Amino acid sequence: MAGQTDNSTTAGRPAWLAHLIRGLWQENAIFRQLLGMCPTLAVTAALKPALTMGAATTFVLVCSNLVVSAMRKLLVGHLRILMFTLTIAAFVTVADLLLQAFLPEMSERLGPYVPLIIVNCLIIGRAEACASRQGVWTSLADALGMGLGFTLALCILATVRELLADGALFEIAILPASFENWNVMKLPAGAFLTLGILLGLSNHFLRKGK
Amino acid sequence: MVARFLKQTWLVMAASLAFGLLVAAVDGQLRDRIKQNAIEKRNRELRSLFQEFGQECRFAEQTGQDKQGNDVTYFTAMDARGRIVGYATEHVGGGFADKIRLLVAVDAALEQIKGYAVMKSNETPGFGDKITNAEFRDQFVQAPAGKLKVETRGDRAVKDETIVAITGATISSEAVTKIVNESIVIIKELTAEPAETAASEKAM
Repeated sequence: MAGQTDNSTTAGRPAWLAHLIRGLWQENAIFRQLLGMCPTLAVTAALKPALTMGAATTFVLVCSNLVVSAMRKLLVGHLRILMFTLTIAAFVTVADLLLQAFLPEMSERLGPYVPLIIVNCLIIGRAEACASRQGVWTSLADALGMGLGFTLALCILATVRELLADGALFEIAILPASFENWNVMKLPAGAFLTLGILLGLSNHFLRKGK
Repeated sequence: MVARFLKQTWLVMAASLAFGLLVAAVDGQLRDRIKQNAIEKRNRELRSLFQEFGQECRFAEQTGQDKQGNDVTYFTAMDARGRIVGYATEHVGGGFADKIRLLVAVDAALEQIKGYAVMKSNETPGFGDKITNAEFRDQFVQAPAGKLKVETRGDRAVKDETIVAITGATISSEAVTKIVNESIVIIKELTAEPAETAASEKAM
């Protein structure tokens, strides 16, 4: 399944460090596993919402991995998915409330996509593939690696889209005023195009490196 | 049977209780702040809609009932001398992607629209979200507080009952115009019958 870890890469490194690094690139949620496509396509029209979504997802991922790992020996086989969902839903609600309280404008801008973190298969995937089988520190490192990798990928997509759609980064104009904005980049079509091109590039460089 | 059921589900029940308490605690801590954020945003937008009356402009929050019997909150704007200079209310309507919530303001004589502010919208980026842009919004400023209608072509600088739609977002443009029209009807209903207005009023 997507998210299974490749133990051969852990050779020569502590397990937690291998888990941390793996999530950044080798098993990157977006570019390598194609997980969490809903926020990937929906919130990457600009860098600020992409970064916020990445931070919120990382927060939920870290909290849920820690809790699932801590109670892994108590989990009953057929109820484990229910427990994962319960844990994730609780921390997504907390993240949503924190955003509403401290970043109200960004919370409005992200709209339904923050509550939708609950159904992000990256989080439940890591609970199943790592946290329910590994210790707390390994699970924490895995969550940080996957969360940072997810955030990084969102930011790469958002950088390309915001630059071409508005000629700006973080809403600060970068390209000259003569630049003709590519409006399509703000739309879902722009998200699909950018993701497709970046996936193609990542595959190309990965094959070249082998 | 019961023992087997409890053995299997005690963790789910315990976790539900623990997470419920966690969410309740966080909500309890942040609720006032979230409410305050909403009030601050509304006050900012009210000041912006009545900016010609300066920082001394005050707003009284009132509640009344529209003709359908629904409770409606509206705001009476007063200048530094306490004269009523306009009214505003929040109203929701269906947009292209989701509900749109607008704050709509009119002058004291209920003849001219002061403008609107978008309180909540999830319209399409690059198209429908242009309802927040000055180019579209400014058409409503000083437009007659009657029944506005949407056209796909026209001169946006002309202040009349015609609103020129956003290119590629006619549904969003029509939705905004409908919400503004409905808001004006509500304000007229509420301010025409002050005797029915509820006593609750607080200065902001």
